Amino acid sequence: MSGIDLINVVKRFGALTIIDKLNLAIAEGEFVVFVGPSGCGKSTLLRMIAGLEEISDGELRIAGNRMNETPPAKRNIAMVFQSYALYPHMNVERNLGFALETARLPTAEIRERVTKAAKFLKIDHLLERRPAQLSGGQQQRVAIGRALVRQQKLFLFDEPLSNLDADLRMEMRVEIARIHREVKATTVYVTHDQMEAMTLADRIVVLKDGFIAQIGTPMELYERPANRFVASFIGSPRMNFLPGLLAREGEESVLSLSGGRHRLAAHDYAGDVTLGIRPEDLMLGGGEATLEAEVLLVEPLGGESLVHLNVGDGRSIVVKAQGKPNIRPGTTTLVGWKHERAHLFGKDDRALLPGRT
Amino acid sequence: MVRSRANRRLHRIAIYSLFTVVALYTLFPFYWMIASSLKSGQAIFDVTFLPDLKFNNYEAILSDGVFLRSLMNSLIVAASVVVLSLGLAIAAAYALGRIDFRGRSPIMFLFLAVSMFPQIALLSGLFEMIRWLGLYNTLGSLIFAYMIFTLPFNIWVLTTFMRSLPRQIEEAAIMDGCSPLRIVRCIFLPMMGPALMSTGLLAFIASWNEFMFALTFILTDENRTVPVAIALISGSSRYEFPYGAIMAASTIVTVPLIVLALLFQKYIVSGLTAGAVKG
Repeated sequence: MSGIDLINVVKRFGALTIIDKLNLAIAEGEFVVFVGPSGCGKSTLLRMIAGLEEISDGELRIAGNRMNETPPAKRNIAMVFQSYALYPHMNVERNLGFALETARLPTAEIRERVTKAAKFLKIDHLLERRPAQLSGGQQQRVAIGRALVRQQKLFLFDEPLSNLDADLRMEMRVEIARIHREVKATTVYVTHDQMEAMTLADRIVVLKDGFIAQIGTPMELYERPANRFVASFIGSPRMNFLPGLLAREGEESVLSLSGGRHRLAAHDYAGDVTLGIRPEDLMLGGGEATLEAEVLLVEPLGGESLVHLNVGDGRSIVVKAQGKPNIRPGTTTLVGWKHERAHLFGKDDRALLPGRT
Repeated sequence: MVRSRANRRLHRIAIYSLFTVVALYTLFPFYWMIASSLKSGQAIFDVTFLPDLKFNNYEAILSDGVFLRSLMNSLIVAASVVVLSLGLAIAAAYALGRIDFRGRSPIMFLFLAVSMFPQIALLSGLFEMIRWLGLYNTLGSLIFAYMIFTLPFNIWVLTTFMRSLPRQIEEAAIMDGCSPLRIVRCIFLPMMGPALMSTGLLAFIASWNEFMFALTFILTDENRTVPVAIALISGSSRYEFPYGAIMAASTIVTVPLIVLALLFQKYIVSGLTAGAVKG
């Protein structure tokens, strides 16, 4: 058992409340990603689990035991830092073995565990080097190795890939997924990159201003965002938003946009709404619902293109189209979508579903 | 802009002549000291710039038991001050640089204020303290007194240096199960090498050269340190002032410092600037 339970957890710095009564249960062996814009409290939350930040109120349980007052080293947690935080004066071997050395393990066992971890991470040829003599990716591997040798049941990652360039980031992302598959430790991973979150997570926790905006599997968050914030945060390019008005007409609801009226299944809600459609759900030329739009710019990306359209009132939307569509800036085109791929958000930015408020 | 050849040459001459003037200005006193120490008897009063290479001043001073004894005393005092003040300063720097507590900056400024007092202002009060502690006329009195000016400086430099060390490294060590003592000993101390070298060396030089406390707190010849011992070297009669011997003694005292400074030159600069510039 090495699940994590956060129960009504609060973090205050003086009069400022960073995290307010947060509840979250992480199952054993699960890979959970905390994602959110900077300042949303995701790192603070991770550091509270690690024991590097005090918990102002509420309870943290690891494997069912209260951990609020337990010092970090006794929580059976291994952590990887954003800056890698390798000890600059020690070679890779000592960096890897330092925690075990501190725990006074026999030298032979330290050696064995270090060798095993180094092989696993493909850094066994670097054991004599100092951190300064390693590339960013190699340093990252050492940092992960330092967590691995401790053979803990719980791994914490604090934005581990944000200092790497794009190529390496992808490589290490795959590597971290492999490690999780083989080690099966419960993992909490903090990032501001929704791509990392989508590819790595069993479940994603989207945080905003110290609140949980939504918890769910990557596909749940993508398909059914609970609110406008999650909708715009998950997915790239961002979801398009258009203002509209929703009114009940008998057995149907009618959505009025500046470009036309659309009949939808009955909603209990009536009033101002925001229509959200992902760029990849928009089609050029037609669909169940359509708008007329002026082509502003076509950005070919190779296999697909981003088409920027002006739908009136100076509002622009982005369409992701296959290949390179044969349209020119300045011309007018029809853009459409399927109703089932459209998301509606009420005045409080919460997602609206048919028949529900 | 492309400079003409003549212009470049002129530029170079200007730089080298300036360099020569500065070198002369700083090095001549040393040269004069060494040259004088190598002249014997009356020759010292002739203005000749080349030394005679006569070593009888050195023979005289090195066969003088009192001088050798004071050399030893200076070594003991300076080394003890270095070890003690570094040890205390590291502990203080960890607290001031790494732990948040109320009143941290007032304490820092108190340290700074202490180091601003002129030595002479401290003299009588310190004298009372030393008598009360029973340290009068012992080397302990000097070790005690010198820490007053070495500690504030060491604490300031080491605190700024300690602050510049990345916090995540400390946190990584905490996660690895290190106690604060082990963090300081195994992580911070090795990383602070340059700063320790420079502050240690400066503390050594300051205690090695100090004169006023050494004159006041020590009564008898066998406990004197070198600067005072040199000042008290006297000739066989009151009409003789042994310039040669004094110069030889000064040379013997200065050379170790120059050697130390040259050896650790690299560390002194990097240690003193490390706190100021990140990276």
